[in-house]
Amino acid sequence: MAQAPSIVSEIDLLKETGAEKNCELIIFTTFSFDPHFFDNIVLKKLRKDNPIARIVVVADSNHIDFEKRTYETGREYRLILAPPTFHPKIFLFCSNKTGKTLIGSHNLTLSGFSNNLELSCKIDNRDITIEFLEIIKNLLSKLLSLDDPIFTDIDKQLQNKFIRGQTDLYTITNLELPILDQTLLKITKLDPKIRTVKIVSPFYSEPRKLIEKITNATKAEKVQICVQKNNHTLSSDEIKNLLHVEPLEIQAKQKRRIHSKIILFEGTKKLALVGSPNFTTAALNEIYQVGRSNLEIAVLVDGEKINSLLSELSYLSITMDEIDDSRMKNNQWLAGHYTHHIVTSIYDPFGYLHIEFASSPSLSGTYAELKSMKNEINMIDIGSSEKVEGRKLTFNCPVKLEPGTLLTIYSNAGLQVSNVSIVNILRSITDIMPIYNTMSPDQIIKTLAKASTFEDLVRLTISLWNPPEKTATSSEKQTSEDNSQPDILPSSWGRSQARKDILDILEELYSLTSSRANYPTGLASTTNYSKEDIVDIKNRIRRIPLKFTKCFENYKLKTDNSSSVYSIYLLYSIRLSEVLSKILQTDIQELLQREALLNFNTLIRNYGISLGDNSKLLSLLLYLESHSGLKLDEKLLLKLTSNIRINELNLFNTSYLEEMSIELNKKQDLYDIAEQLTISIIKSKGNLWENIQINPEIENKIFDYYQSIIPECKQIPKPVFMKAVTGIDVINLYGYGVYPRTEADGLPSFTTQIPLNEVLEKTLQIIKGNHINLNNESLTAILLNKLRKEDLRTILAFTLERGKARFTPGRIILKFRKQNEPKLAATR
Amino acid sequence: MSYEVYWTKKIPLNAIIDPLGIRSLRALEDIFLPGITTQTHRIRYFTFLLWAWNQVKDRKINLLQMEKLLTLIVQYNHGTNVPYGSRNTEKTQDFLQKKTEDATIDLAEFTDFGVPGSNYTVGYGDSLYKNSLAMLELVGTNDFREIKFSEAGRTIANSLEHAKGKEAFFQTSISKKELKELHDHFCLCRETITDLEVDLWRKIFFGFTRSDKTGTLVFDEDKFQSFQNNTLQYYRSPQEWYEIACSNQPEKIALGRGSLLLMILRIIENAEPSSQSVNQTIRDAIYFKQFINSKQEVQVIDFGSLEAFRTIWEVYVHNLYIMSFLEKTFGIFLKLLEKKPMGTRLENLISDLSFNKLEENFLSSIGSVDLSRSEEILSKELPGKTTLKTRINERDIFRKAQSSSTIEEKLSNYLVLLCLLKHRKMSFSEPQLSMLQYLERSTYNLSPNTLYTNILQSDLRKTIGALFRNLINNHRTVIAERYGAGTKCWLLTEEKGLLIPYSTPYEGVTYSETKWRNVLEFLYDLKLVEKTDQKFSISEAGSRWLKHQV
Repeated sequence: MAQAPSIVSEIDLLKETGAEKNCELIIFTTFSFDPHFFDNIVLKKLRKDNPIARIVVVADSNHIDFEKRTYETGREYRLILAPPTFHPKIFLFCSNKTGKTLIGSHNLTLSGFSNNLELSCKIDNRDITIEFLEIIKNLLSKLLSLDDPIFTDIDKQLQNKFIRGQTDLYTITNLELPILDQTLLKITKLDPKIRTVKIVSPFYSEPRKLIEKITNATKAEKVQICVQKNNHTLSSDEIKNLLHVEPLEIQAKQKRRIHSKIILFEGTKKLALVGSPNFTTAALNEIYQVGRSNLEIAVLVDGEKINSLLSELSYLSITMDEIDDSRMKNNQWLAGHYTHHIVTSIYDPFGYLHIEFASSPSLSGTYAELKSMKNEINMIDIGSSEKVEGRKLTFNCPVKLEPGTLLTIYSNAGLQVSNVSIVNILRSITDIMPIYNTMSPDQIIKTLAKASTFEDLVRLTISLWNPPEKTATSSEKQTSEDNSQPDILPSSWGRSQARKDILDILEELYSLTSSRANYPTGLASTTNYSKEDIVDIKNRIRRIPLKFTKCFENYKLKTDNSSSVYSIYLLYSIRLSEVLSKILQTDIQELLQREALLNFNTLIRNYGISLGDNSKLLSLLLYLESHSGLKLDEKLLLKLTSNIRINELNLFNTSYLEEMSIELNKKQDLYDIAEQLTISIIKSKGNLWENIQINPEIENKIFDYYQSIIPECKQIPKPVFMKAVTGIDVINLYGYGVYPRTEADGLPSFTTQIPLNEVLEKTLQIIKGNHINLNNESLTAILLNKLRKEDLRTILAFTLERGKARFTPGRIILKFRKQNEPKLAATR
Repeated sequence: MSYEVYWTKKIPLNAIIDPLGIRSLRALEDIFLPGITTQTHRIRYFTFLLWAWNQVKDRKINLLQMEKLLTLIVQYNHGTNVPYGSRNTEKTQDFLQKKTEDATIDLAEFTDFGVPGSNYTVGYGDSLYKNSLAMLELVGTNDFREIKFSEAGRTIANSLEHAKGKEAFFQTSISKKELKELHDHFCLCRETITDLEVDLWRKIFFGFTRSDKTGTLVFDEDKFQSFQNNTLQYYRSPQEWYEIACSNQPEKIALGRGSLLLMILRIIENAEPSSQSVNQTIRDAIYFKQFINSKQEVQVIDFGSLEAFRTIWEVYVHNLYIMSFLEKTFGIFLKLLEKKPMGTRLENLISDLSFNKLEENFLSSIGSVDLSRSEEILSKELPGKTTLKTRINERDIFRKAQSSSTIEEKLSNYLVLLCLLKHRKMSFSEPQLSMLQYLERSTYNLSPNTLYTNILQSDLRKTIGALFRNLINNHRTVIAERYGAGTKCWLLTEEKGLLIPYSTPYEGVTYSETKWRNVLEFLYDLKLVEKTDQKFSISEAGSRWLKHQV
């Protein structure tokens, strides 16, 4: 352990918390919480220099001074109410590059920051900060569901985790073992010859038991208990007759109230336990259980430093009587245990109240009391709610809530059955909505397919612009260093700017739509909007596709111009138009889709499209064209279809749209467009045969039909007929008394009583009707219908001798086969 | 080392001014006295600056250097008896003493002149007078921060143009002989002020000005003539004065400023107060229309056509008492808290008070310990307003509270004062009530109306509890607001009901209307008031001015 004494012995907590800049995640854990102090003094500076940070305060639910709440409480930051007794005091600041932790005895109050004498351990090291973050994640996971947005941000930080080197700092929590047990284990291992133990703490319970435990483990010869007069709870009875125990009065300069908690072990080495635990059984000798025992976090640090700090205080001897006389009275913490513990509650901009309990609640016969800053009270029956899922209750709140609203649950009999909590009415959407972690395009499309509400869409949008930072592996780093190509990835600034842009729009929409609950009949009919407002709202809405397109362009297309990305763009646009039309009950769907198509044209012109399967994209495009009435650029479509085989599986499949939950309410329009496109494609490709496939089953049926219309062949076994008409074994027919004429191409021809036109029609029907994928909705069916009058006649002409009633059935079969074979080979 | 361990620092605080944020209760003086602050004292400094800014622009000279010379002139010629309000006295004295009589003084060597906060790069003119001159509409700044004069401002600036010896201000050095010669034309003392200057400044302060078509301030000779002819209407109904106060129209406000100065002149004429009692005398005269003369007799004062104007200022004095009540009781609370450095709860703090003493005082003063009924009880005894002759009045109880020896006695006297103030408020006319409401706009939960409703309760313990709680809450709000502007000014901290003193002394000021002293200094420079070591009195010119006989 290093022996260097501290040069600067004081830290200005206000300056220290205000000094952090550009953090992404800031977490405060505290026992007491003074919202007025935090909102007015800490938060303003913090928010100014950390505009995108998620800020979280976790405090003991019984020690939040709700009287001092402000309109900002739970607005810029998330307030989590941990069940009592939640005692850790950690301030953690984190970005993907930096990390700082302050751990000590200081609460998030003005006294803790400015007046009390507190001990603070400052760790200016990201790796250790990440370790604390893991501890915090661990304890938050005991309080919150894992889909809480907080975890997204925590995990993002944890991704950039490195194994830290050896340090002399040991973090100790009572999540799994009592703090004292762990401390003594560590101490005795590091220094088996502890001689003196010095204890500084304002609060004591069962000190005898704890001291005995310490002396038994360390064999210490002297234990000094330092108390500050009128600021301790030590009773002389507890230490009377204890060998080796020496009580001392401790004094601080400027009569400062000592709130620090220290156990200093002195032997050949000096080690000290500092942090949140007082010298109480609950803090040092118990394992944390939610709502049942204390949660404490401490660090074991170099005792020389602590010794040096303690030497700045004065020590006097104190008598047992003086200890009792100067003991604090009325210092009992409020126990405040209720059957229901509200950990957090969020009122979202859509008017839903989400309440999360420490355990699954039984809400039968209960009411939620909502008390505004102006002391207006609303009672809401939640007892009949069926919307409890696990620990969460979500319901559409019948009253509009304002920031600073307190929430408490009462039984029908008027008994308070929950802690008092504050409703978080967060300003930023990202603080409210869970964010999808995936960035896989397929996954996004799947999620988009399910998105039916604006909330869903917002979640997804946030995901699109909030991807987890890609952590470059060492090999990737090497590659990128070797590569002299400029980095085409948008800068993190560019990404955050794009995200900010889209979020700005969504935030605006949130505010527009947040009154939906109050105006269920929609925008058009509400009297709360003036005509000018409605025009303004519509204009703002019209800007969204363009804004979205720009963001898409800046962020997505610069790195990926695949068909999937364009599909996301189109599907998102369709969803947005649907959802906005629904919310605002205004017929803007076509308008928005038109805008989306126009923007799509621009995008694809500027960024092109990489090779790949465009079938889904085409389906979406045809859908949009049919709905918006805007004609697509044919050249563009042909380009998109260049790699597509024209059949119903690839070009246009309604099941794609069904998968994407797109309703086909203009089917005929859609088919007409698809048909035109197909014909264009076929014409552009120039070979009709390539576009028609028949499978063996259809072929079989055609054979059956042809055999049935040639009287002399009816009795011949089918395989013989098939081989003969296709020229493989014509001679075999002779054995059955059939002697057909053989044409120049070596195929046998027959006469038939059926008019040849009918034969052609029937052949067509067989191809259509029996083809497994052919039906009236499929593209091939449309294609064949269209071709019947013109092109199919040409096909069938191969089978006929013009002007004669001779029929060569093998020609059509072989023609199909010949055209299909190379394609199958290519497919294989 | 991956970590460091520290004690947390006790945060050092900035100056504690108005810790309850109640200054707006006396906003009337800001409304009607623009340009006269407690920072500015001498009218010559105004004239000098207007002249100097002109020179700065034309000659590209440094204003600070010119101000240095002005200060050296004052100091050299007046020694230890410099005019009230001169700045930098001690440092200038030290600087001069180091120079022999025949030495040439290099102004660049005079380095510690100016505002310390600016590292001596800004003079007092720039920091203290500029805003006042702008409020008087004599100067302004353009987009390039250059000084722009109004026509009236230019006229005053030119009044020094012919002063003898002005070239000295463009030199970088000076001899003591020259300092002596410059006194008669440039010193800050009253003797050097010319008749022209007096005439111009009187017209400015008494509002004989108007804005011309271009918006620049010009002297209004017609208005002045009308004042002399006694046809200028000073009488306005209380309602009109209330509306003027709210109007924010410079011309109307200037009329109000003139009325206020006439009102002060009238009080000085009648009361001739000593410099020690000037604030209280003006308070009494406005509030009671009475004052205590040098023979300790109660004397009545008639405000004539300014009576309606006085009624508006009666609200101001009422508010001054409210401010005193709040600041003094906050001081008492902090003193009690100071005895508990480890912190205490409010209920424990109140329990330590001796309520027998408190009750005793209430029974003798108001006849009841039910303070919610105080107004009703007082109204029976005093159907009208209190006067300086009634058994109990605001002035006496306030003075009694100040001289009380125990905390209980002080506290009870201040609470009696609050009861009397509530009683006074009941006599307020509609315009007065409107003015009260207008002035208490931003005083959080310590506005007079709230105090009367929420603080005075049926039980003394509850009353004191409510009072202290409101004081704490208000202070907390102020802390937050000030911190937003970078000022740390908390006198206590509170954590879950545990109140902990910050050990910063605070008692609250007795008289917050310190501006009257400055007003009198201006009137002295305008030669309308005389002053001796003993008292202020009206000058002969002042008497004529009051009669509008200029």
